[in-house]
Amino acid sequence: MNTLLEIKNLKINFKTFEGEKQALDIEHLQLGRGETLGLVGESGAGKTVLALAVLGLLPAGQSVIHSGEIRFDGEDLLQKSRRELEENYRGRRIAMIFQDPMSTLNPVFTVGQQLGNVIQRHRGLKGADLKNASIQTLELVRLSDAESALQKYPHELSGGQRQRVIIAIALSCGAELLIADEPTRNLDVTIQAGILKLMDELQKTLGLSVLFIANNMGLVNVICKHIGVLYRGKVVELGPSRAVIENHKHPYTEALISAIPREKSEKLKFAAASLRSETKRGCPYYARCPLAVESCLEQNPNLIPISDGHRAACILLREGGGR
Amino acid sequence: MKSFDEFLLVFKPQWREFQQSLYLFNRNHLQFASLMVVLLLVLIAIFAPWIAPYPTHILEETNVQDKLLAPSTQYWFGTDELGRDMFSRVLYGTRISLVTALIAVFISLCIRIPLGAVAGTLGGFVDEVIMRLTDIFLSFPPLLLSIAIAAFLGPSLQNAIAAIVISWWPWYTRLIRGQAVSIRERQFVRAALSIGTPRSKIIFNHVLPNTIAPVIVQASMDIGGVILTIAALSFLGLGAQAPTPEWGLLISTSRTYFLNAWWYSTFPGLAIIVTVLAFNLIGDGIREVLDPKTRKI
Repeated sequence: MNTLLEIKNLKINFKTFEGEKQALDIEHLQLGRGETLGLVGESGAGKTVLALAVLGLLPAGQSVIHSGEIRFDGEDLLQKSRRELEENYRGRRIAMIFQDPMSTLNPVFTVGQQLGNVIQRHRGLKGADLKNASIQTLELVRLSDAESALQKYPHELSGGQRQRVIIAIALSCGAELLIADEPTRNLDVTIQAGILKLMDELQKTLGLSVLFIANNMGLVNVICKHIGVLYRGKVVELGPSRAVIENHKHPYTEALISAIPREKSEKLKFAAASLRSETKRGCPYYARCPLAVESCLEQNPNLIPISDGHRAACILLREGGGR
Repeated sequence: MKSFDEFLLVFKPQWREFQQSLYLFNRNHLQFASLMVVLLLVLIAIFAPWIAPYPTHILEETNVQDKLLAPSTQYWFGTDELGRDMFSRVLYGTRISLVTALIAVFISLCIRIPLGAVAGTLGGFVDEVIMRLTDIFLSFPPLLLSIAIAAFLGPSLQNAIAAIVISWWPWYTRLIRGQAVSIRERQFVRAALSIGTPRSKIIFNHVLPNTIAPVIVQASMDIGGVILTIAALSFLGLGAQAPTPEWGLLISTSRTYFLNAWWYSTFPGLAIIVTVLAFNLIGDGIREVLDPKTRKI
């Protein structure tokens, strides 16, 4: 596999009143060219921190990157200066879609101006050519009536339409890596489905690599070939989607999967309950794990290989996946 | 008409918003009236020397046999102690007040907007320096500071403008900085950063256009305030000098004749009231139109 993005031993802490708190501790994570990796986890698990770290957009005064590498196409992004990132990576090779489509567009400019600006910068088009290219891009993201949409201000569009515009802007940069940070959050379910379908199509036709961030296993399963489950800044399970969904090994993954709403008869399990008080040592999931035993407190479990590419971090697991 | 079509091709949505704003603004009768008053004042300011019935009375010429006459069909606003027509002089005063106010507001906007936006967007050391500088200026009452500066520079209209610019800029620099700080944290700025937009472009393309609404409102209110301050400085003898028919100066000289000639101070005073009120009402109206919360179709 030709690796596009590779993260090694990344440790990021946040400075707080109570001292430094660990936000992210990732041993190894990689994304191949043209592949899709889904990151799942609850809010605060560190998904967005990871995305911002890749772009170098973490708030400088409040976060400390302790160690590690973020290799993009072989180059370590953490060693790059702000200028280099601005000129060669952000918006050129890496694009990001943010959580809330309602506030990602600048309210005082029309869609045409904002999209046109990006296309002009990346392709140097002007006048009628620019307009045609803008319309084409909007048609690519299946925005109905693209020509009149160019003349509209963001507040005149619905959430789904806005997210399509944002995807169009992200795509018109011609980036190789697209980071989608919960792109369907705050959208209606029907519109969610539309946006997911669109992203899936675009990923396949354009051969993009996508890092898809979500808090819903169901969404990630639709789009991604690989899934990583994050809990409190650590990858607790990682592998091909099918293996992770059908043969999940970590109790947290199980909780996430059982939280997907299904038929009426099936009971929703309440996955967020704390069973014990939080501890600093041992397994990060100890406090909420239904299977926890005394020895869980002894060490922070490493990822244990289960099958080809499928790994989970739980000390109850033996190699190959038996308990 | 062809050029207008071409204009529409590029600025159609902006033109539509502008027309909508105009409609909303004019829906309030008081605001419509104030807009008309301001347009009238602008016309008077432009054509003052031609519409004044006694253009030669505006400055030096004297006509002592007609001194201190009450308003009549010949002299609508009466005459002053040198027999000059007050109507002509008050008309010409419009030009002086509007021009000085526009210059003062324009210059101070040129200082405030970039300083405030840079301080708010960049933060850190730059922000600290600019804000402490504004603190120094803010520690003086603005009118007192204007008087002190005008007295230091010497009495003249230009120096009065300079005094106003120097004493007024910090107030709005803070206003714009506050706006910029809140815009800086918005998602679209983050999104712009994520596609590699340099910080200079962030300031001009994202922060400034979003702070401009309160700036426009402030500027239109400021015009009223500046007219008032210029009149105050002239009244104290620190602004315009005789024989300039500046409104504040007219009121100042009228004090001597106040008991016998009521018209001498009344008409310049009315002119100040009407002008300042009209600009303030317009400012109010613009705020209502630009604020999404009160912008109701």
